[in-house]
Amino acid sequence: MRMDKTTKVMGKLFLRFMLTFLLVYLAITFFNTIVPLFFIGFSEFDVDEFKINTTVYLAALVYAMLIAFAAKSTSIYYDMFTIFSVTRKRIMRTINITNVVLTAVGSLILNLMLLLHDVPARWLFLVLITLSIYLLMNFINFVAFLGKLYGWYYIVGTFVLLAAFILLSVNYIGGLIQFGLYKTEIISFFIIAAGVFFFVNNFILSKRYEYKH
Amino acid sequence: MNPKKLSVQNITYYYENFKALNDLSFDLEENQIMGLIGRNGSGKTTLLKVIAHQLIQSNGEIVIDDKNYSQNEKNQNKICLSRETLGKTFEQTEVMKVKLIFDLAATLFENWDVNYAKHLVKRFKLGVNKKYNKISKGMKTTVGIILGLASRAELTLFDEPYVGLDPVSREIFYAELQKDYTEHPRTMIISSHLINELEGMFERVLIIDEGSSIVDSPVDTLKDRYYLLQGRKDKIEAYNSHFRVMNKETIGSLASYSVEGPLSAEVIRRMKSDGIDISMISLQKLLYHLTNGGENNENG
Repeated sequence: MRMDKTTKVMGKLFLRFMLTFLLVYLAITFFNTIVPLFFIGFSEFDVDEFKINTTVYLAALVYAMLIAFAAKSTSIYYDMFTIFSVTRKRIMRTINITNVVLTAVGSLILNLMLLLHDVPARWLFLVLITLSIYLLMNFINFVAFLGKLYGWYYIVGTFVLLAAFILLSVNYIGGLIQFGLYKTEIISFFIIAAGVFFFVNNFILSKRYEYKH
Repeated sequence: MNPKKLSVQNITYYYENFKALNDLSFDLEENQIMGLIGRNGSGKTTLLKVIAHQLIQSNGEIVIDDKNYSQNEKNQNKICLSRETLGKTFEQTEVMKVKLIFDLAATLFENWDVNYAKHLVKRFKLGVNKKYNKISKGMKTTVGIILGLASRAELTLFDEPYVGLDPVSREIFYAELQKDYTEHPRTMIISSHLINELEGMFERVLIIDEGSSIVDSPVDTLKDRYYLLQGRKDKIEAYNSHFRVMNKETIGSLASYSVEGPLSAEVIRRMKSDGIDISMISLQKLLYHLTNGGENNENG
């Protein structure tokens, strides 16, 4: 399939954006894992701890990067593409393609990192990480649309909700996943929620309104 | 007659309950420059955004090269809407160099002319290494102008392409627009308040008021329809049955009438022999009279 020009531009913008995050990731990892060794001695270097730390930082960075890019793509880049006279339909198609590609890339990176660890039921992690990233991206698109429509204070409110959602998921859903409980229900929830946000973004928010912000 | 490039058919657009465009229709031939004229809030920007598919109309259809715009993917590479802003969110939050904006434009616009863009950057003295959110309003307008001209889009729409520009930059824009249009003819719509500066470029004029079209005509035809009559009031009044008075101003026995004809060659000859001076009414005056700027239409 020939890559659409709008998708090509979105790709360029993402690569620029990712570079910043990569530098931040390398800096954080370096300061938290290597720098302390200068003080306590390199003989104290623990490979297992290093693997855990790098995986945790990378997971946090991948999620943060994808969340931030999903917000940018539906707000800032949406504006920019309209100025380049790209139609709303094509912009939304580009955002949808970007969501799928970034979900796949994000999930691949995280699951590759998990190969460093002894994880039971890898397939479950693969499915849940993939679905959670896709849901998050569609949710953030939705939030950004609200910001464009009604003002950016909506963003603050919705991110508070998001923080609560993350805490809830870490405390409860994470526990349920760990014990292998309610797998079908959790997977169904991720799929249905992502589908709802996808529908609202594509068929309601991107079509009917004028953006005032 | 050139083939039809754009056909706007019965477009209606609502901002919540406010009807910004009211059943608006017009056609535009290929390689013509049309002036889109109207007062503030008359619906000019909304119309341009609807044509560029940045707003989706409540009713009606936009047809480009005989194909429905929104349903035809190929059509979507044919339009460039040039504005003085890249969008509120973009301006407030994105840190992007002007150079990168032009690089992205080069990827997105099929007919983008890199050398011409560089030439325009020099002409306007635009700092391409500056951050877009740090440059002045006039410079942002210049970025929009460069996008509009260098994109060489088949249908180029300029929305008030002078906001914040100093007189020198405005003259550069007019000169470049004329030169480039001569070398690369294409269809353009220019919305403007500075009618006197631009009216020489227009081949066709669309005047809109409260979202409706009130004049849609080639400029040449306007010359045969609207006149400014100056002379003795009683002499002009004698021809009252030949025209509709839009506005009159009197000073003693002398009067100046803005009228809508058409006037036959015979009537014009007789008026001239009666000492009445007949000239074309300027577009600015026409807008003023047709949109009730004069209100009571009588002074003096």
